[in-house]
Amino acid sequence: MRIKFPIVLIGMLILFSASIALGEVSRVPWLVVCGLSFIGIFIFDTENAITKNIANSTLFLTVFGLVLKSILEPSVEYFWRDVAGAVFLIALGFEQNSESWDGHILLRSMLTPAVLFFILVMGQSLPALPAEATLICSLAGIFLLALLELFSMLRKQGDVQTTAFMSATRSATSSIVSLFYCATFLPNLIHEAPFINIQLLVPVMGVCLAMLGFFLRKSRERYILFCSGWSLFILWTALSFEQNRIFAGIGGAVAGAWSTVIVSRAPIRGNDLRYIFLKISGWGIPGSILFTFILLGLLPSTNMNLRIGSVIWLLGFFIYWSGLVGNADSDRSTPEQSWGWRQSIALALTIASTALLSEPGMLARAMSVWWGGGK
Amino acid sequence: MNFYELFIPHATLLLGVFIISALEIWGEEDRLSHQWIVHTFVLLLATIQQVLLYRVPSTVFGRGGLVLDGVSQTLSISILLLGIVVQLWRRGEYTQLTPQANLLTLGATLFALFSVQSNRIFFGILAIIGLLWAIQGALAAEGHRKNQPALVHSALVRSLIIFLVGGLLSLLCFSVFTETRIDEMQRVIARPNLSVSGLMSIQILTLFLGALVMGIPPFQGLLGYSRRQTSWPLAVGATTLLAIVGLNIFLRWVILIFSRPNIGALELEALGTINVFLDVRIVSVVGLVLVPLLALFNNDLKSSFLVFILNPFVHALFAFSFGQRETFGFAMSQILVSVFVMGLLISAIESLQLPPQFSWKEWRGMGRKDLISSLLVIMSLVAAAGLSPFYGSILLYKTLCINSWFGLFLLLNVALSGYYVMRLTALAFQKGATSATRVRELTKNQRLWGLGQLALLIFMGIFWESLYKYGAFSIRNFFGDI
Repeated sequence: MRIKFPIVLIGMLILFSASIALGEVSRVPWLVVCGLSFIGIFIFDTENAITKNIANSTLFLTVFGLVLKSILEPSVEYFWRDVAGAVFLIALGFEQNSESWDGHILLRSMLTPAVLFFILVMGQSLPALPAEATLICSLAGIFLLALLELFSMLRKQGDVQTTAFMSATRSATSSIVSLFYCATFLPNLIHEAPFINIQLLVPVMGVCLAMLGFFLRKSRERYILFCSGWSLFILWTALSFEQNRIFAGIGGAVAGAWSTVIVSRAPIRGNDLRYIFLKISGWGIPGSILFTFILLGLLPSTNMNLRIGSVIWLLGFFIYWSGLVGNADSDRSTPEQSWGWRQSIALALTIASTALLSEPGMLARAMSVWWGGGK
Repeated sequence: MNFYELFIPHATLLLGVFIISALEIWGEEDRLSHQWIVHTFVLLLATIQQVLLYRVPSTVFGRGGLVLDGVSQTLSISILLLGIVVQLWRRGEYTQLTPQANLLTLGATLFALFSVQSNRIFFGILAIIGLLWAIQGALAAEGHRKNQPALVHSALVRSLIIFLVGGLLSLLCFSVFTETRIDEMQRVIARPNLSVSGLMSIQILTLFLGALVMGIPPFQGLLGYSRRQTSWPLAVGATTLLAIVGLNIFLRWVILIFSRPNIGALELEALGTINVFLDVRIVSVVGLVLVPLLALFNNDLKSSFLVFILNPFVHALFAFSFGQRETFGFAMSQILVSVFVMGLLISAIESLQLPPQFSWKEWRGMGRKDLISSLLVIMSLVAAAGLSPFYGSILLYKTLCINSWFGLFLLLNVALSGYYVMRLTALAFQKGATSATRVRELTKNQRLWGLGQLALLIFMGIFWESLYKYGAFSIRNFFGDI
């Protein structure tokens, strides 16, 4: 384990450096966001699941490489092809890290959405398809990626969460893909009816997920819904076409991936307040890094769709938070974890991030300088 | 280049056959190991020699009806690489190292080389018959002793069918073209006074022969039942070998003869009254639908795998059937990549030590027993299915970009293949692991070797441009760039 950690880290740094060196200047900020997300997942992997076996390490590195490669692609077709590869490997990772399960394959296998995603990607290349159909295929692919984990919830014994790093990898990939696609390849058709109504459809889907969580007993199941909802929230910020909101989405993508991996299955040790705060900060409660990006993402707007969407999102987050009351169940089969340096960094980060709220425009200004003409 | 140089790889393989025979006759107790070393060495040497021969873009004709161009070169390298893969993994087999199997597999490689390099249809038929006898003999040698007479008899019957069809084809070629040389036939076909019925008969026979040799369903291949009896490496190797030879028939005996480059040389146009591309497309569409379906419905995992590994070759055939320069180049590279896919499959199966007969039921829970080997088996079949991030996906994408409603069949193939892979993966990690197989712990080197192969395949899929250039360079003679 001790040897694997630096090896995987070096591998990630090599991939990251190579992509920066080979990439166009305009893609560098996206590469940095991707690097931050994945390196953060690796560092905050408190369960040490990534380095548990060589299969997980290889899989994680390959997904990271594929997402980086997708950002470097010059055309949308190759971008989707790389993403399809990453999605397939993520689905395979979920399967190999899950508990043994039984039942109908087509509905409960995580590979079903991955194969559907690939068919959608390939379907886009049919020349006979009109532009509207191609856009629908792309958007359906993004939705599938955001809702990928829901398929595992159909399993009988509620084997819903494999390891936190897989959820975080899915979350990071979904967020980066939706943000990058919307900023780089999204056709102008999206601004026309009926596609523009997606700005309302996405928050409604988010609220539906939150309400679905009300009927679920296990907090892990509800957390999967929250992660899927968070991916939709990032997609919504990307589809807002407002710079400040997109920047909030970019920050939220990184923070979301980190928070997902830090909320492990391990039970809370005693009444350690640090643990409790860290665990519930993954739900975006006030005072957490996610809450900061929720507020930045729900900034006032002149666009009526976005204003309505903001209200719907707020409602969705309140539903999630209200479900937290009196629910502190964890997977008791997982051994308790001791407080370590990773948790300390995570706690420091999530508390320090609230400072961003003192000057909401600061993040947007900093990012617009950094992005420059690259967006 | 002196055209005798074309024979160097063949001479090396033939020399290997003689040395192995001599070791069997005069060798000491350790002769089986020596035979294995000689076998591996000559295959490596022949591969290097074949690679070194690829220094001219133009077509070189050799005496005895041999031809060396980009296509025959790519197919030859694929065959030799496949021979190495099979040979390396036969080392650990329980029925391994029988001298007959050694000699016959080397002989099969030699005949396969002749069949893809032959410029005469009649010689090609003879080489295929030789290949069939050699490979059936090797399969029989590795199988149960009591089944050997039945397997050899089956080989004789099948080769007789090939000989009859091939003989009829040669006679028809003589009657229509007064020649069985492929390049001459290609020149003659532009003449207007050729017999239409004769041409149609030749096309039908070559299509039938190609599908039969390749093993595209509903044909079950020329090897039939014998593959189930033998070791995994030889069964997978023999199936792939015949798939490559079958593809050569479609390419050289069907498409090359009955087409010519269109204006601009970006695509081929059909010559003659029958559109040969449509015929090939129909054959490949049947394969696109039936290959994953038959693989899904087969209860025996080995038979299922042996059907499914034809998938990348059917993808390549479908791409060839459009006669477009770009897809042609991608499809040529796909053949080469498929050999690496088979290498990964063979090595993963050997690591798992799966017995010759193995069912889906026994596969259940295999991923919990041996994660790495199971993942490698799954990934090799994912690559065969043409899913991303493997090279097959770029061929699928390029083929789908062609404006044709036949593309829907390719999407159907993707859906069925995806379901096949999904089923394989889900079962591997489901409950109910049986104790039918004992799984040994992989050594660190074996893990690295397997994962290295997987990394290579993914690398080929992500950085596909160089492979495409190789494929595009290989098909230049088809488009008149000589």
